[in-house]
Amino acid sequence: MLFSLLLAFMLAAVPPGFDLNSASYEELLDLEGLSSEQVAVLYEYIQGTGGLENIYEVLDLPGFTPITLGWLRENVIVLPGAEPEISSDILNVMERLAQEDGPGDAAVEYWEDLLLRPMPINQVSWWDLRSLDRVSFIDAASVDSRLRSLGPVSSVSSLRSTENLRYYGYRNMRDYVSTREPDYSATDFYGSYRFIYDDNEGRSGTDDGVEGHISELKAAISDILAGGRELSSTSIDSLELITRLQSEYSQLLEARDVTGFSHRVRIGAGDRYRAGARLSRGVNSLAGSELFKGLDAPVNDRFDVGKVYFSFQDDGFVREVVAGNYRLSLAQGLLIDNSDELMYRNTYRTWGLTPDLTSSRQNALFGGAAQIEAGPVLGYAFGSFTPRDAFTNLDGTPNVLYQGTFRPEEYSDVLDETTYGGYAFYDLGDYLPVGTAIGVGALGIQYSDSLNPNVAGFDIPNDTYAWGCPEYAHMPSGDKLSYLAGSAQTVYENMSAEVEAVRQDNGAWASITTANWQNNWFNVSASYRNYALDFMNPYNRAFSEQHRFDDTVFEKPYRLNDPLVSQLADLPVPKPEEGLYMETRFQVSRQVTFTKVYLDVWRNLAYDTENLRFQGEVEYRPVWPVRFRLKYKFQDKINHKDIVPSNSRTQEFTLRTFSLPVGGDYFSMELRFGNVELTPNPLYGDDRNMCGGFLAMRWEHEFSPELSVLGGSTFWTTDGMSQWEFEDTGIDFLDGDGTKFYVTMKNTLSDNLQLRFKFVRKDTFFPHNGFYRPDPDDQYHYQGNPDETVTDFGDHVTDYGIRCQLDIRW
Amino acid sequence: MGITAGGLIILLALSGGLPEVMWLGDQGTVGSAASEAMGGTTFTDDSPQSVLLNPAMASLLPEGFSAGLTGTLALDIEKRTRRVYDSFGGVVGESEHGFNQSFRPLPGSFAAAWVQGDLAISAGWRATSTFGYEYSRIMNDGDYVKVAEEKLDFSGNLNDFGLAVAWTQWNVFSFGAGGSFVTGTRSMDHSIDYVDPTATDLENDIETSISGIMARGSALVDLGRVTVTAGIEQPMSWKTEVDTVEVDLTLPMTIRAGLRYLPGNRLKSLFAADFWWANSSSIEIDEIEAAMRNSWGFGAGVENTLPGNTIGRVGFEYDSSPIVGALDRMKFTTGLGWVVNELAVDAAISFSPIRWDQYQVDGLPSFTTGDSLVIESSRTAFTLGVARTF
Repeated sequence: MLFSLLLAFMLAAVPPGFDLNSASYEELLDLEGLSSEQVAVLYEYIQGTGGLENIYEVLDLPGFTPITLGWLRENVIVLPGAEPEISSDILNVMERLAQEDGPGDAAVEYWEDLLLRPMPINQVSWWDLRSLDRVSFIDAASVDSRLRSLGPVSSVSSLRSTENLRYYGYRNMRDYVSTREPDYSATDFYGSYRFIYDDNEGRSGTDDGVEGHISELKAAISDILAGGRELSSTSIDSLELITRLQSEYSQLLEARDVTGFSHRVRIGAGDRYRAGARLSRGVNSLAGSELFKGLDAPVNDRFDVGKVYFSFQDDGFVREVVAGNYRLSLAQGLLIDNSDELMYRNTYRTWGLTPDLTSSRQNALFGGAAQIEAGPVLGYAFGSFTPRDAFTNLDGTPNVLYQGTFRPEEYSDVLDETTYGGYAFYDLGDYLPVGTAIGVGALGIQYSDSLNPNVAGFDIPNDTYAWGCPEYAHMPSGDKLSYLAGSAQTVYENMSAEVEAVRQDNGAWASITTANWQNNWFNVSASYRNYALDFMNPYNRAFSEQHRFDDTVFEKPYRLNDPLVSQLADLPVPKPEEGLYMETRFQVSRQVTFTKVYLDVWRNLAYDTENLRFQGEVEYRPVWPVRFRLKYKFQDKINHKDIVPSNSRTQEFTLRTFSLPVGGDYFSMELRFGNVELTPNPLYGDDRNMCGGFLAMRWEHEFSPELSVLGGSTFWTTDGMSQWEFEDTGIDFLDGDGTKFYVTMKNTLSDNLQLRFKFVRKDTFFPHNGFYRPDPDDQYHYQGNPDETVTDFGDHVTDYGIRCQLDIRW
Repeated sequence: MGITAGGLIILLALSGGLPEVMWLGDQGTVGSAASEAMGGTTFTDDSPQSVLLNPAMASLLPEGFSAGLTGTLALDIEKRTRRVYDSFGGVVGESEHGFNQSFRPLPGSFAAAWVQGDLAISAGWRATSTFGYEYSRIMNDGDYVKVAEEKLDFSGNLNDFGLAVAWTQWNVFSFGAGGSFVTGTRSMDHSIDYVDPTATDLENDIETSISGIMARGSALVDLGRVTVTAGIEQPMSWKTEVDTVEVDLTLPMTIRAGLRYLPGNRLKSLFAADFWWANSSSIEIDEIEAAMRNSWGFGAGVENTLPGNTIGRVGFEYDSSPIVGALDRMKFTTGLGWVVNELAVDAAISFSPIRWDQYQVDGLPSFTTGDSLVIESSRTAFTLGVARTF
């Protein structure tokens, strides 16, 4: 009786519907059924875990007994914590996008925005959908056609039945679209901040890395000082050259210790306004010249990329306006695509105008751009004014535009570039199949100083190499460039065709035609391209097999007056080539799929040499969680030589397996072997075979949806043929013999905070022997001690890399 | 300052460069093992040892009496290489020239705290710096005949005896003040024993004592899931004494800030980050500027309670060197923790590699015969800590 009275009193003391999860510490203290010690434990637990999932969970806490539980059951309730604003599926997609946030991927940020504020599917056209990740032209046009013929959809899932839309296209589309109505009057504020720390020491030892360039520069300086280059017999000012090389050398030495930092902030208000800014510095980067001209502040020394944008979206005829940095990619990228990366053997391309906060610099556009839609006309207009880097001749005139990771003061911001143009598309979808359109475009480029490509600026005079590089001989000169473009495209049922042609002001043409046929099980695409030798558009990123300066003298820094000029080999402009590319994917059954089979036959128009590349990959899936993939690659390339062309035949075999053993675990293993057969050359001991291979393993364990740890290890051995391996977040270069391991942790702490952390250790072993030299002038020597005889040694290089990424959203 | 930097300064001293007293040792594990595993986020750590650095954090300690003890074992590896060039000056590779390895215990810390209501008091000892370094090499002539053997050995540590007080207002704001007396010694033993008995061997032993006072103040704002804290540390009256010669040291003020975030998820995650900045350019030795640069650093880490109630931690730390950018260090940390009733046991592993060229530091005797020109070193530290609440 007494107990019942007491219980009744206590019941009266607790407000009805008292929720433990949302109670304050003081409110919990007021509960008669809990001691202060229990309250302390309970409050800490609720704060730490986000709340109790049910009342029985208290039994796991120290000091809580079944009696306490009984009292709590009678007097309080446990309401579930607030649902996360972002679903775990969306967070997973965001996580994947975060891994792909490369210098050319301005669209990644746009996709991230769409995950949180999806595209209103009932108001989109095929060109909007072509801006999405891995959504083909046919997929985009089929959805547009369905919306035009049957009207709005009530749910995204109803698109699944759209005729000619592949499931693959639907799956890649569904996270980025919704049936919501955009509210351009809304001003709800949101944003994100991303911080990246990147100290990837393990990647500095490659020929393209800072150590490779330091070594080449030092060799060039030593050679000049030793009188190895007959500079005095030419018009080249040897003092100017040696001063420049020594300056670059000292700048690169400082760059060795530079770690990468990146700060990126993006904010938005409703569906109408967006803004963002970026400040970053790349690993081993040189500060170059002033980031902000005339500003005397530390920011100029600490960062080498600064970007900012403001964008405005409207439902009127001005669809979007971007002021500041922007990325533009239209049609097939032959006229305008200002990314830093070239499209290798890939016919998929994201369309459109997006703000740009990527790390790209040399091709960044800064100014204003607008997307306009008036009836059937879709138009883009853009203008940009920005400084550009350029290699300079020794008389100070700009030689060619500079494209390099390492930008010394001598080549930084040499001239200003004014870029302007537009592209207009007329949509014929009301009369012809939806997706049919024709377009015309124009691009004008004006430099503040005339480009003066001059071989004397690069070629070592009187050396054994006779300079010959048609790709360089046809680089543009003067201070103006202009281009006119025409394009057409159509979709008929599950077939599409696109063509784009561009004419340069010197009369040179470039064109590309692509056709595609697809269904859920089979697709085939073909692309024909023809880029004339004297066609050179710095914003051409159309489909190609090679960079413009691949297989040229620019891949041999020891043939160049300034070895840093070898970075021109990375110019992301297609090589003058004519070629036919065919690709297919074919799912034979649930177990067997030819995932990607392609053949590219192309002619190098600089030398009229024929080349061929074939790759085939087949996947076998005996049971759902296990897959095996076997890939074979063959490439036959002919390289121009003075008397007889040389030939290289590359073969590569790769066996991969993936499995999902239990829960969220993921395991993969890859075994690769490759060999190159070369034309014998007495200079290199007639060694005509090079080979290499590796074994790589990865295992990812998911402790919970919020926490996963990925570990990977690779073992490799090479004999002249270095290897490239795709790690979890990028490509790694493997040379010599070695091992490496890496650990990546991904932790989603909340909707607002995500962490990625990666640690890499890489051990590479290079045996060195045979140092005897009879010629006293051709001796090996130690640094700082030129007289001591060098003995055989093994060079064991240990590199460590760390990458941290922090994402905060609000 | 890293151990290699310390070695540098010693070499500077030997070669008549900067005064050796500039070397203030290699920072030990000054907080708990848990904070060490989270990127060395000592400033935002709520352990009895860490509140000696950030007194205001004592307001987050549990009510009553608590104590913590930490100790560390360190594996130091140093490899010295020389680059090999061809006749064109191109780099062929790096030839190993010296390899030193040592595995030794480092003193840690012990502290106790008492919290009653809005008031907290803590006191303890921390070995804030250690002077451990061993180096030996065989000196050969040009024909690879042994000429002499050189040894360099350092030992000693700096002890910080501290006291801190904190009080809390309105359960949101906390203020703390503290101070400590720092004292320690450093022993250097440098010898060169020549094979030739007629040559004069070198034997150089130097004993240095160091002492000073640290004053600290900090504040904390507790916003529930987010805690923000900031503080300042001012060294005062620092002196060193070498062979009865006393030298005044002016050491820099350090400003620190930190953040703790408790997102509230099923992993009971905790995110912590801290940042420090010191005006090292103001360092003076006997009122002579030491030509250092301002330095800064940050650390960040995360803690998750894994299934089975094992606590997993990981973190990252970056410290810039006041001497030169080449000596900046990064540190990768990870660790595990277990809580059994009132007892917490934590283990941490930290790994800190560094690689630099001798020429990158002014004043070093580089480019001489047999010298080491490229230094790769790493420290792997194993830290164990226990904490008990009474």
